[in-house]
Amino acid sequence: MALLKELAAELVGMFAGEKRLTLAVLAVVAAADCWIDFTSLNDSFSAGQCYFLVACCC
Amino acid sequence: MPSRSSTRTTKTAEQEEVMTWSIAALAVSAAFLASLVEVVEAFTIVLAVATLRSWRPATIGTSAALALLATIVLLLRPLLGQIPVASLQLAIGVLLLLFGMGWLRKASLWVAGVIPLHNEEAIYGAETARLGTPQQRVRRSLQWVAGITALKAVLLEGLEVVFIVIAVGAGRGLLLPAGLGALAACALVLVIGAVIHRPLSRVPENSLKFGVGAMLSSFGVFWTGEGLGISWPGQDLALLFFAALFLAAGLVGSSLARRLSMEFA
Repeated sequence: MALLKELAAELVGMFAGEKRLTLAVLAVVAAADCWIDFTSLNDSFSAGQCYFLVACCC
Repeated sequence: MPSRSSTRTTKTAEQEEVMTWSIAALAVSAAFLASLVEVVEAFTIVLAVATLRSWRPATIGTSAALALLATIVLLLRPLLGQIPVASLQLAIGVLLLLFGMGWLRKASLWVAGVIPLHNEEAIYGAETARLGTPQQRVRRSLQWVAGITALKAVLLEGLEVVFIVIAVGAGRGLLLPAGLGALAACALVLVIGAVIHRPLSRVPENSLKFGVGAMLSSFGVFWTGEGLGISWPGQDLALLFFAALFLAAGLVGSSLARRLSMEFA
């Protein structure tokens, strides 16, 4: 049981070890999705793409 | 104008057929290098168990973990085929961003000297101390502890390897090349480990994590974008651009962190 708990904690830690980073990444992805939906520019290099890329690097 | 969902459907059908060398090479390299880091970490603990107890619990624990991992892979493979490629790319892309940026952040802080470097010799020493004194080693119950320690290490690091292989390969049907990259890393570590019988402390894990963090993050941006319906300029070659951008961002970040830590020291 302890092994399973440790395994679960490790798996969560793999993706959400740093809470601020996790929230920031999820926020950027959600914002990029909204932006792309709003501008409806799916087939060209849009401002949404630039925003998504730059925000991820920041 | 086609709806967003139809755009996604059309694109995913094409994507399944196209396998360009650039993305395959990057997927294999990312899987190989990331697996190298993980397997070195698992090897250190298995070696500590084998040296302090015996090879028996180390081998049993490792074999049990590998069997569990193989079961997980066999169960996951048909499930992955059921998920639409766009949804798979989006989910994997977000997870890769979280995982890759976590590595990149940690590696940047290592480079900046803000957190101590990952040291296989130190981990080996800590594991040795945890497994007990020579007098305790003969106790039978501790053979179980040793076996479980080996199992846990291989299972945890192996799960990360499985995730990385799926993450870099599943979006374009590159599971096999990515898996081969990971297997090559396992084989390399095992061969070197069998020859030198010591923790592989000379593997530049911290530098590797920096590079692999950038590569995984670039795959994360790429897959997330594709999952959202973005067609990247330059197609797969955009991955190289993203990787360079993440590397540069990591270097700038570590330089800023070093300066800040010196100011506050």
